[in-house]
Amino acid sequence: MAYSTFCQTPNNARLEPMFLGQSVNVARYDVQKYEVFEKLIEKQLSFFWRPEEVDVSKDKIDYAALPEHEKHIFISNLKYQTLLDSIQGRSPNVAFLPLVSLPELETWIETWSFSETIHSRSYTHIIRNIVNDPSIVFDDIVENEEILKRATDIAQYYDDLIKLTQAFHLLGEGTHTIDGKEVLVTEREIKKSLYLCMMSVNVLEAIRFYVSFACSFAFAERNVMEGNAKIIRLIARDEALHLNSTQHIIKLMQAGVDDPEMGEIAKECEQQAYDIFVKAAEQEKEWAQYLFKDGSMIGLNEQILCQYVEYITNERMKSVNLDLPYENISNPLPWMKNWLESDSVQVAPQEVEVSSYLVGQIDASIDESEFEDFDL
Amino acid sequence: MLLFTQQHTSLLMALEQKQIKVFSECRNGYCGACKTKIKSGSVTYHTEPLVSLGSDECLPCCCMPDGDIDLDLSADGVQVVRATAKHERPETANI
Repeated sequence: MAYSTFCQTPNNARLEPMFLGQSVNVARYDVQKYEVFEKLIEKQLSFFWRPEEVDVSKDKIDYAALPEHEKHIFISNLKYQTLLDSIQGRSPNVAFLPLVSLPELETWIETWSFSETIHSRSYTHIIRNIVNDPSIVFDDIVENEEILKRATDIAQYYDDLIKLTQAFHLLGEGTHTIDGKEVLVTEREIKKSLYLCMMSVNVLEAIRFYVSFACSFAFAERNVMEGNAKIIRLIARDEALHLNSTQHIIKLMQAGVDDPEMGEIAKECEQQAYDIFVKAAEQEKEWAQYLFKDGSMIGLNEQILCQYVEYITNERMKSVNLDLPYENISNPLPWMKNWLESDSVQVAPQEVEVSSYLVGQIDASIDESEFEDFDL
Repeated sequence: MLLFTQQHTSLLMALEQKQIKVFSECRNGYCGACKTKIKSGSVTYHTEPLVSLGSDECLPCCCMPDGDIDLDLSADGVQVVRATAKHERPETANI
């Protein structure tokens, strides 16, 4: 079945499954199979922000004053996040769009991926501000072994799915020889690859990102690198939506109502899904070790970050109906909540944590001496 | 056990005040982190949740209880005030 950008066969999209039904033709949203994707699109659009709106100039001074091992933590995290968003800014489009068959889900995937490109742009904004030559940071992403290890694992599930889909669209079902290797291409194989890919994406959005968030917010808890934290806070707000959507897609797949075969596959792949989560969590713990190799930072060390990885992995696995691999503990980083909380409650405009006031709100040029003749 | 008063803007706030362990993140109904099972009772949402919920589930961050509710949460380590005779000072105990 070849992909068509506008399939001319009239159909009722509400009767199609999420993936591998008839390709979407009319982008219409008046009738929807799953209203939740429409709501996610609206929420994501309402979250729109641009990195340039956040003043990060004070971060340059803060960064210069950081000890070397903290610079390493900060920069390594930025590199890792740059990698994650480089992948997320394109892969959902490339991998999922050729398979999707619901208009609202198609648009959600595009909106989701677009917001990741904003995140990528904000890393350039942050890095350009704190180092003289951004290439030193960016070039290392494709050389740093610790980062590449993760990149391989994350990209693999996307790449497998993309390859299978391309073969399917070009050659149809069957056993094909591609690059000298025999590849079995069936709809079922694609669905299996899609399910595992969605799990891996969920892990990326729900666990991998949060390790970096924890470090960024740990700096800001000490009132350093606050401009960066404001940006990361906006990114975290978007990521909460993305992980909500991948959890939702996974649960629809598991329930098997949308596509009974997908329900069977979800059951078959339960152990594989479990392994994807555990492998990623263990990788993130190794990453914590790499981050803190030259020393901890105030408020965060390797041990606490590893506990947080285990804690959050359990919570995320619970959300997608998987068994829990780690011991049940209470949240080792309770202050994370303050940074992840959205802005419904505005405490005071001058509070740096309130991101609804953040557009151009840091006056980085004010010196402490200006308050000298200020009496209470 | 749990007291929800007008001071609380959400069920989650009331739970936290009693130091009941609930995982939460966005506190605004769109991340789904605080999803909790309801054993009995019902809730009303002040913000529409952006998460699909089963008939026995709720998002404490954006709802208020309609009356007595029983949630599927652990009471381990929760501070409760035991009822005592009138002339005694209430003591705080862990259950």
